[in-house]
Amino acid sequence: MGDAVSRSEAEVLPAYMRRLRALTWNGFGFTLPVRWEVTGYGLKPALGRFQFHDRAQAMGELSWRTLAGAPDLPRMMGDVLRRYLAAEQPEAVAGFQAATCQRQGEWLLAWHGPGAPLLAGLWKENQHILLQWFIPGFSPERLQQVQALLDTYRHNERDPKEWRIFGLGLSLPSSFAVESLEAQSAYCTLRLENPASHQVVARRIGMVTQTLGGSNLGECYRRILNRSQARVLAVQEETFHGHPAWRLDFERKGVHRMDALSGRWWQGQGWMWLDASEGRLYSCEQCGPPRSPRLDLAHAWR
Amino acid sequence: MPGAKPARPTIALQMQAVPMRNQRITVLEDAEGISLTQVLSYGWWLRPLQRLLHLPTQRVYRLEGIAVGVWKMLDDKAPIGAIVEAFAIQHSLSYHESRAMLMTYLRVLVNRGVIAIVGFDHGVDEETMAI
Repeated sequence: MGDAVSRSEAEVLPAYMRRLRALTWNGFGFTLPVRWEVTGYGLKPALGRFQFHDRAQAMGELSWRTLAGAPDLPRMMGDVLRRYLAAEQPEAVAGFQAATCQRQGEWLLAWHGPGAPLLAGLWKENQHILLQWFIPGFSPERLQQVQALLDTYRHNERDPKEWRIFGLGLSLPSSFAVESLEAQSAYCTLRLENPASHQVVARRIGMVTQTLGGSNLGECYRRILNRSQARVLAVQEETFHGHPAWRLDFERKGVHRMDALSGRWWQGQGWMWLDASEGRLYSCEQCGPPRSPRLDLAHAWR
Repeated sequence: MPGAKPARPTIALQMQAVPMRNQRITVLEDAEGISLTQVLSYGWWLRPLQRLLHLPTQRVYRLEGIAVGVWKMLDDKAPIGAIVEAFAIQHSLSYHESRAMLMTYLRVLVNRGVIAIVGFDHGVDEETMAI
């Protein structure tokens, strides 16, 4: 029933909120419940996390860490619950024998009772990564919501790999890794780079009227690129994924090996477009050394 | 021995707090925006030198655009959560985009002495202000 409610809520979500539900990262992907938002993150490949809130209420945390070998998940989750009870509900520790465990697809769910957290874990053998959900305050409704969330889990380790967060979405060759993620109010930037320093940058910008400030998309994009030490060479009106867009060709000083020493400029191109249904500006650009093969950004954008 | 540092307020606590306008500020609205005039007061030892050193007697802050809308929402009654919600709807933002933007702005107003926030007294959670 919780799932049905969530589905009907999802249908009436405004367009600018719908894209926020997709979360796909290094090896995993989920469709977040309605109104859940990422409110904190740590992105180290070996040890990272996403923190979620629904309005003012903390809804949970998804963390990952690399381990040398497969963990004993039921024992590990039991230990977490025991430590939690020892700290928060000392009177309940004596009665705690083992956590209640249940399989949900590939995931293992574990809980003790009302008030204690609900845990979910998945060992990804091929990546040597342990994924864990920590959901505060177990209740049957919360269990149902988490089961529905875990049902949306999808693998994301094959080529091309998807990266979706804060309404941004890219599908890139697996050689690309996250360089940075900047989440400011109504301005998010995701920067990925491959070992050859070929960089792809995606932006999502809200408050369109204030951002444009009377200028057109081309001028706005030029300002953004200039701020990132790029020199705009050509500006052209086009469409991108069916939206009115501006294409900008630019160059930026090389940052790799001899190109950095010799001050060679690297060519790049990018698009900025307005998604009128969402009331958001998006941009996507790439720049890299001359020999690095260019990507089809229209194909890479999700 | 100094006491332990108080725990940072959770987002829920932050959202229950109420921003209050400084009653000693004069508000003047015109077609382009709002001017907030704050009368400056100096310590007893500096007061005799105020005129001699040409120290300013007042400070004026000018609010325009979005800031005017936010100022009008500060009615000394609405908690931050309600203001965040209204601002999110008004500007097609998600709740936490709106929260992060407003908390940053409210912090500026607090630092300038234009408002005070009643409900928590030890800052805001920097970590969860990322979004």
